[in-house]
Amino acid sequence: MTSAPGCEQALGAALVGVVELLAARRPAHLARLAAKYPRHAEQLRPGLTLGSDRHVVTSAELYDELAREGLEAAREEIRAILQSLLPRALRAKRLRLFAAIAGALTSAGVLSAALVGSRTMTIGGALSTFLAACLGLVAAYLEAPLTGPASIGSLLTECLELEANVNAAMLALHEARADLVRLRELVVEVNVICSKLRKIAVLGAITPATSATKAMLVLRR
Amino acid sequence: MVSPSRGRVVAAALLVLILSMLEGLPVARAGKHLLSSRVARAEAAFARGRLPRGSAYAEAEGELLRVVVDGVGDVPPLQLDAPGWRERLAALAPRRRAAGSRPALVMKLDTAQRLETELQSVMREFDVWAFDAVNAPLRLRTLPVGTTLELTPSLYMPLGRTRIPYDLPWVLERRLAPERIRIMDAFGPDHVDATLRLAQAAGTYRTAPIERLLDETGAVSLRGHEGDILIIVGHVEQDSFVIRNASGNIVRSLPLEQIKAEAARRSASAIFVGCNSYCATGYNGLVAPISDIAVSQQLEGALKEATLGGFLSRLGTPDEPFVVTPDSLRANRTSIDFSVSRVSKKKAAAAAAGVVVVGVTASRWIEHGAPEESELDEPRPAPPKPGVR
Repeated sequence: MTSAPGCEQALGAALVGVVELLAARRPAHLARLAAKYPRHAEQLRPGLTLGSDRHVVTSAELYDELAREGLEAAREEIRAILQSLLPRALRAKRLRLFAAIAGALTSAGVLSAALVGSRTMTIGGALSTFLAACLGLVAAYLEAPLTGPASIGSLLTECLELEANVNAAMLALHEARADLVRLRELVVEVNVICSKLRKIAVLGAITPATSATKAMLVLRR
Repeated sequence: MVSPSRGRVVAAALLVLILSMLEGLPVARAGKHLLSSRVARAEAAFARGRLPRGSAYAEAEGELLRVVVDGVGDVPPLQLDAPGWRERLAALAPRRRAAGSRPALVMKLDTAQRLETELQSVMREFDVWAFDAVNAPLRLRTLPVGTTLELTPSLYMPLGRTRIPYDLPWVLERRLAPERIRIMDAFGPDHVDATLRLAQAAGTYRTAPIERLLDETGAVSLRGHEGDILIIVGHVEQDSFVIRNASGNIVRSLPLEQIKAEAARRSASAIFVGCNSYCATGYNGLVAPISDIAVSQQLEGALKEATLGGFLSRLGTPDEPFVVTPDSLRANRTSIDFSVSRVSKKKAAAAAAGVVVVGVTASRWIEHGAPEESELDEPRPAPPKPGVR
């Protein structure tokens, strides 16, 4: 593949997401890329550079490989997120159903207790109310992400949308061939996908987060 | 029993010390001219520190550089406007010396500042030290940002053209109050991993996003942070913290000057951690970028330090020291402006791109906040004890 003069572009914030996701999901692949492109080894290390990065990428091949690796890592991340969040969402849904049933039983029980005047039935009704409340709380706990007003349902929706974006980007990557400008645009798109997936992984507690991070993320949303 | 020569040296040392402290008064200048000779000052300098044999004292007088060499005495003055004076000065270093021992060349700060750019070849032969009326001699080191004064092995101050703040050592010894330190993260919402690392390094609830420093209009407001030390870590471009999203587009830009002004207004201290324009417009050569990972690691160590000097020193390492740069020497008891640059000593050409600038502005890093009016009447901190560090 060739390099197009005038298409040089400094690496920077627009690549950090891909590199961070590769470091988390496919560290061996990231190390292979760094070894293959020693001139860009610094840029292929995880971490955000705290200043203007004057390094330029002139290799369409690097963009192509980075985009492919990023998309593969994104697929793995999506799989991990779905494997973790889907069962949680299903569990929460079942618990809500049980809570609703317990609630319905309670209302029927209270009525019967009032009619019959049974003390046992009154206690049973109270316990049923307590159970319904507890089930509701557990369901809410399972549905809530680490922080923020969103639910894991919305995270799942976003994740599925990103899966569609990954497929579209993969197709576009096949068509881009050695077009450096198009490849660069694609890498930026992949970077956006990877960054969003990392955020979902943190919010969905796929990646452990400190309480300070939780607090920060809450304030940002 | 004190020998006569030793007594003479001690007397000369005392005389120079007193005259130096009175420097500026006409009577002192006259007295100095009459009573104190260059030789006496050299002896005083030699007496102040246990300098290696063959050390020298140099003093610029007009276009002449007067030099006194320990064990040799006054040598013929060097003509500063004639070529070859540097080589002749370097040649005064003794040829025979113990392994690992380098002779010292001591000079007054103004002489060092005048010769700053011309001392490179001399510094290959001598360890050059500069002193002023108040501070103990500080060793000169060459860093990519220029000639600097070594405050600690990882904290430097550019030689520049200004005097050393008289209370700089005092300020650096001030105790940091951990509960006053806040770490502000200016990475932006799309860089979750950098946020995670910083939060893990800085500890729980000491960190917050930089958006917390903005009011409803988006302007910087440090209300509620009076007396705090705010360490702001982020991506710096030109003179602003720049938050970019995952597409690389700018989401927010916060000028450092705006934060500095607000910090000064609120008596807070703002320490900026991020590459500065050295990165973008610095020197040619290899690039050694600083990432949030390195900063988080350094910060973790620095937060364990008890004093401001220790804190700033731990932000750098002997290989990649920080340079304290007096912006404006408002060196009063409560406020001193300086910025700190992190540079790499490993490769001179590589250093500029790896610079992280830490700007410290408008103090109150003192444990109990700004001093009361009555405290300001306290005597100034005593000058450091004589002796080469």
